[in-house]
Amino acid sequence: MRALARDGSTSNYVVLAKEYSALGEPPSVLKVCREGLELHPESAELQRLARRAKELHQEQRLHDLNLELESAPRAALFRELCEIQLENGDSQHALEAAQRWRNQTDEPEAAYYVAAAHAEFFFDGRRSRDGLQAFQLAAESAKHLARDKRPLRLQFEIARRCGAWEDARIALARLLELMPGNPLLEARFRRVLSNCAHSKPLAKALSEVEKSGRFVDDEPEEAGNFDREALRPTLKRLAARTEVHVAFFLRGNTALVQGAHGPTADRTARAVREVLQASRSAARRMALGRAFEIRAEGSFGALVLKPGPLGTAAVWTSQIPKGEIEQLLEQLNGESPMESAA
Amino acid sequence: MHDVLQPLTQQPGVKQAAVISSDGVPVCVLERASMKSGEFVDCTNSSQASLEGQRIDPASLVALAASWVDDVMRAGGQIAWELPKRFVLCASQGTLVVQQGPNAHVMVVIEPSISPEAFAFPLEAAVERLHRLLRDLGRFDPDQNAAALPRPQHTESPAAPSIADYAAGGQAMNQGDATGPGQSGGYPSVLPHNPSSAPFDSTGDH
Repeated sequence: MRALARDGSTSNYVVLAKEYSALGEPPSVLKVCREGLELHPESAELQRLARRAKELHQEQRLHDLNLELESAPRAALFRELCEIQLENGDSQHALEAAQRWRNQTDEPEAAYYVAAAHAEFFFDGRRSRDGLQAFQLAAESAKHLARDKRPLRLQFEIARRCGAWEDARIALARLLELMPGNPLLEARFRRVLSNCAHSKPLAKALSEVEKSGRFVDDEPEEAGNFDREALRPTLKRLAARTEVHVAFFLRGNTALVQGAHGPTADRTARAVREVLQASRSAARRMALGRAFEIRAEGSFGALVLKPGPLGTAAVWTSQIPKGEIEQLLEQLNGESPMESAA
Repeated sequence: MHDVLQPLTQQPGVKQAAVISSDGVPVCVLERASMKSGEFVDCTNSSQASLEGQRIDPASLVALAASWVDDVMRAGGQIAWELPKRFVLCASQGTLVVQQGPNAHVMVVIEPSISPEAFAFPLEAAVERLHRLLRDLGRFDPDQNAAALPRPQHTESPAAPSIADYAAGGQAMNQGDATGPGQSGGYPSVLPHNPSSAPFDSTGDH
């Protein structure tokens, strides 16, 4: 600590944070890391320590909250539990806690947290039923929590992302009543108002999102909108492996195929696209969220599809793919950086 | 039927385990009561999401799973001569693993953090238990691959039919049907849709 008083360098902050972590004091570690990051925001080590300390602190807090809820359940504890779980992206636990709270007390705030958990499921999995449930529960809690902005924000976000502009406008107008003169909200309101001419009813907008798997502000996945030449070497390396029969890359209506030619290439690429579409839609409808890997295995080998940010990489192999094949698939779909062609 | 699924529910990370007919009728569905308790409840005849944190009713889930398997098999038939036997759908909120059995599927839904590889052997073992159960009931002939899975009785009771019920159903069926296992053409209750008999569209150039 004295060394830090003399020299506020990154290494001295790291040393002090590690000393606190050895003592088992995550809140102190977090405090030191925050202080250090104000002076050295670029320090990767301090960022890592802060992240770790926050995780440990939250784990401990979750444990304590669960214990306390068993003995003396009350709104403040449920609220904190739901907030932490939603912040951690743990929507399933947040939903269970909020439903337990709602069953016990029937408070309108509990309905808001159930709505928030369903909204997270909707934003991730694009399942229309989750979106509708979240919107309706948010409306129900907004009715009872007249001065609370959170349910209205949630309604606005759901409606905006699926293109139900009229519902977005109504939620935003009520938010403006609570925060009159807010320049950001006013600008948003004008933008939403200009979109109202081509607004869709909420139920229709939600089911369109479920069908297409895309929100209105998502980038369109158009055919040919990628650098084929950059992908081809990786696709060739994949197809050159002895266990690989055919390698594919799909984006929009375009497919690159290595290892099959002519009508066979067309037919297999079409089949892979059918598997992809059926699986994406099934994952949404089964409330499993966004599909990121699909496998079909049998005596013919394995067909593996990996949808990613750039497109879908797929491979038909004689064995279940592992190691380098998986890495190449992830390079193709954009989940890991592309290696330069050797 | 619970005995077929029970060992699967002991595996860490399992949210749901089910035996479903290949056309999506739930035969036995066990679902974890909540994230906190490791207890599984029988939801075979449950038509609405009633458990804490449950977002889809079991009947819809298994029907959608069977429909997905059907779609993948149909598309897979255009790639290779043989059809897939095991299906994995990894998604952000859970992973579905389905293993094909005798005119039925055994499926599990697991936590997204759990590797589906860990379920390859337990699922094969569950299919083997299903084979054995049907063999004991005189409903399975591996040469014909035509053993029909007994359907659940639609009663008011929420509990799944027990093995004894199936045994009783098997006897009743065998009495009405003169041919036994091992004889050709002796399975009148074969489910109408059998994806394994779907025609191939492959040119065989692989």
